[in-house]
Amino acid sequence: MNDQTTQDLHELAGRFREIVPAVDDWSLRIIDVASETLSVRRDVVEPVQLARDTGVMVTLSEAGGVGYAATSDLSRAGLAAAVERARGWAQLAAPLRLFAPQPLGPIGIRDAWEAPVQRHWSELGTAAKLQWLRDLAGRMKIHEAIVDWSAGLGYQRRESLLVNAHGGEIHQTQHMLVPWLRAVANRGGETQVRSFGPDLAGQGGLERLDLLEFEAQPERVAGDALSLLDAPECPVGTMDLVLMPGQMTLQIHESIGHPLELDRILGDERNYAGTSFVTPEMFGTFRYGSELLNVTSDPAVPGELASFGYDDEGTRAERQWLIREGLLLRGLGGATSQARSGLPGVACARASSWNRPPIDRMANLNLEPGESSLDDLVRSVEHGVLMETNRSWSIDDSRNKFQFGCELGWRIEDGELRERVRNPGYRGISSAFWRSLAGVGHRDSFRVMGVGTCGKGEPNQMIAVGHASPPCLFRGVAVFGGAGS
Amino acid sequence: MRASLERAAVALRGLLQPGEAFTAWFEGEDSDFVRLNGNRIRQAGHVQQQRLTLDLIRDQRHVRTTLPLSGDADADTAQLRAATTQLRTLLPQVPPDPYHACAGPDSNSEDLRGGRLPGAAELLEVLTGSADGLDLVGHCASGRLCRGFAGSAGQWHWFETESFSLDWSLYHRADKAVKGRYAGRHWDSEALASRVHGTRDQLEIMACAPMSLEPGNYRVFLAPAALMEILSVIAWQGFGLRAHRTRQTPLLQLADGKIALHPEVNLDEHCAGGQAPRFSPEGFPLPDRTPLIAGGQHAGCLADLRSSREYGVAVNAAAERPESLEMAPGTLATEEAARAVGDGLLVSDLWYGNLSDRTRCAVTGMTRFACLRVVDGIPVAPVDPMRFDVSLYELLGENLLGLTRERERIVDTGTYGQRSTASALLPGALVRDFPLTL
Repeated sequence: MNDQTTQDLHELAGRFREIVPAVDDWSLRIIDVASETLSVRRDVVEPVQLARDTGVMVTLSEAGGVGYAATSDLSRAGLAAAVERARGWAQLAAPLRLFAPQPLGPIGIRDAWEAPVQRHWSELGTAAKLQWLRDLAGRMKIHEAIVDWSAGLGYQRRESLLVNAHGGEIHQTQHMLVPWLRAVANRGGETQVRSFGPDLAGQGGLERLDLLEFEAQPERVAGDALSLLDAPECPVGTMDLVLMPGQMTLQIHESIGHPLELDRILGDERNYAGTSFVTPEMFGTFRYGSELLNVTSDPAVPGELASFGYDDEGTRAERQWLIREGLLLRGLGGATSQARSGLPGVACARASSWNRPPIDRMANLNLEPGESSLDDLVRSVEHGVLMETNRSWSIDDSRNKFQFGCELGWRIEDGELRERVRNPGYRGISSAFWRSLAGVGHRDSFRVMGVGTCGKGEPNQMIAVGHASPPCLFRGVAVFGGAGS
Repeated sequence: MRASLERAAVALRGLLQPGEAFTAWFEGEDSDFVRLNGNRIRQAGHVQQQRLTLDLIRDQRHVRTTLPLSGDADADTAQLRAATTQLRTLLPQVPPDPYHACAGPDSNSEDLRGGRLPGAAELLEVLTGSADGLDLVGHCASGRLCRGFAGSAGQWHWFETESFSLDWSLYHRADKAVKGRYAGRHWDSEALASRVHGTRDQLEIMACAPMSLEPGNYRVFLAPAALMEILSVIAWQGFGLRAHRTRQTPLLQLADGKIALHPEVNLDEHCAGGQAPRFSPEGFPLPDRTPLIAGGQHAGCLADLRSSREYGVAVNAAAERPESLEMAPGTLATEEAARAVGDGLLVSDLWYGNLSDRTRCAVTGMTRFACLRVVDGIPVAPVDPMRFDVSLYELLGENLLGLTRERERIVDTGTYGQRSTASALLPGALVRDFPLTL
């Protein structure tokens, strides 16, 4: 928490309270984001990029309609203009509203939440961080076939204050760290990319770099890329598949997270991100996967990227089971969607920034650990492939037919990892795929990951999501490789 | 918004110390957004935002910051003063940047594209009235967009446009829907009503029992929007100079001359014909037209400032992805598309494309909206969503049977962070052996 920023946010809220007119309901969401991005590519320091983004969203309910106005003009006049715009939209929307206005939260809550940080970003100066990144990047140039290599580090502090007509006031501060390494190897017409990091974004400070053993990765990343140039193509056919946590992140995100979003089920996303194969009557009865499938929404996993205390509607976030022993129990939808649908949800109404309204967004969506070691999973495969690190993703608008590709694969034969294979990919249909789940890694193999690039909504919103998972085994999956496979 | 950048430029000149220079890139919008579901309003509001990306430069070192502007002169000047101080503190900590350069002092332009925007009430009345009784889901964006550049050497560029975009789907049931779009600068209520009625008419065939296809190769007509989805995936890294020089482009075999596309394939970045600013964020003017593929052969790349310095070429792009892609037309009449397909598919839209195999320049994705089975040249039924996985080398190579003589401007309705100014002008494509895989 930055004391000056916190004071500024509260002063801003105070200014707003002085000018807000007597309307049926109102809320004010103030966001202040400070970020810094450092990177080195091919031994050249890229421009150091700082950013500050501060603005407010006013939401008003009046005469049976709701409207919003967002502005970067934080002066008294700017706030007053935003109020009038939001009011105008509320009045215009009233006769055409999709549903009756819901209370603008938080109701009766005054609280603060902040992500724990052990080593603050500022502990290390910019010059020192750049030199460190140069060293790491330089260690990736292990061969003339490495044609592009880069290392980077991003930090973001996101502070928000949500206040409303009911005396609610929630102040939250997130600290996010995004490290990455990337190596590109080429020989002739063959190019292979290996990366480490963007999907390991998390909340916290520089201590996360030690947790990730980031400093030990450059040679391995470059070595992987290099070795893939000569690796055989991934075999083609129906076979067993072991997915490492990095790829599980994507699998969970696309074929569990999005289909369970209540606003998709309610049809809001049908023009853009799509609908869902999940229908309201499935909750409580539908077998989403095998009995090994246990999925939670958990805002409190240490370091996970989308941890928070309250969502942007002001609902307290709590750990909830979405799928237990394969049975679908609960969707991903905030208070508004729960009221509209009558379905159980979680606190996950979130907005990407001050200039976008909250919509249903998965936050920390995790596949709970099972009882197998990674060795156990591999040992139980007669003929299959292990894949790690997503590089290609595509799924239909109902979240059924997917096709995913990975950076690296290993052929498995008779319970043993054999050679590396390149261009591994697989395709399937969501519920059939999850029912083929035959093994789940134990707690020691559980990895907490996250990405900052989940897109959804109109107007579009890009937001950070957290996913944690152990490696998992799936039986009888359609697997393929690239050209020549 | 122009005043915000003008004031910022004046303030920054006053803040500079001897030996320092600055460049400033401005982005602003004043937009209405309305989201609809079931032909009713889901969310409606307004966004006013202004952002300045400031580079402070000294001795070939530079540091960048992006900060919001309020439009309030005193508040913005105070912010700029604090930002300049912060950047000045950081400058000694960064090494000289060999890939940075400033546009010359004579780099100036004005590009004002006025329009007639709809009033919010008028827009909603026409849209929801035209779709009365239908399940319309969609999004409307309307307002003023500005981009600008100012430099300490007197460089100045200003781009300002008033535009709107409406993007909707009419649903029959479940995933059976038809897509409609209306975008431009000069609002015409009758034109919108006509387009909505057009999509309403298309719903009739969506009411037919859907067909499930077996995986296999099909003769297909890709409407311009469907072709755009495939090209947008390729465009992600396909045309950038950096991706070419580091051998990451999926068009590597084309660039190496090992593969050629159909000779009718001509792709340009046509800045002069697009809807985006014609200057880069660093203030470099962009050429009217940059050929990318000519006569089926690799013809050129897009180079932003950093690539231009790294590889010794001129700046010809704001970023290394097309913002104003243009494909030359062919001779096929669009109205003859179904007859030309004969036995196959009419595909209005593809969706969620991604590279599936960089070496093969292969793209996977899904059919979406009006994908129709065609028998004896007549559309007979909608098709359940199918996955495709196709190599561009085959799609626009030996399997390309023809491009339409009519082209459609596909306006990017993207609003991540802010409204996009990208667009593309594309024909439709008749192809054989289009592979459906799942």
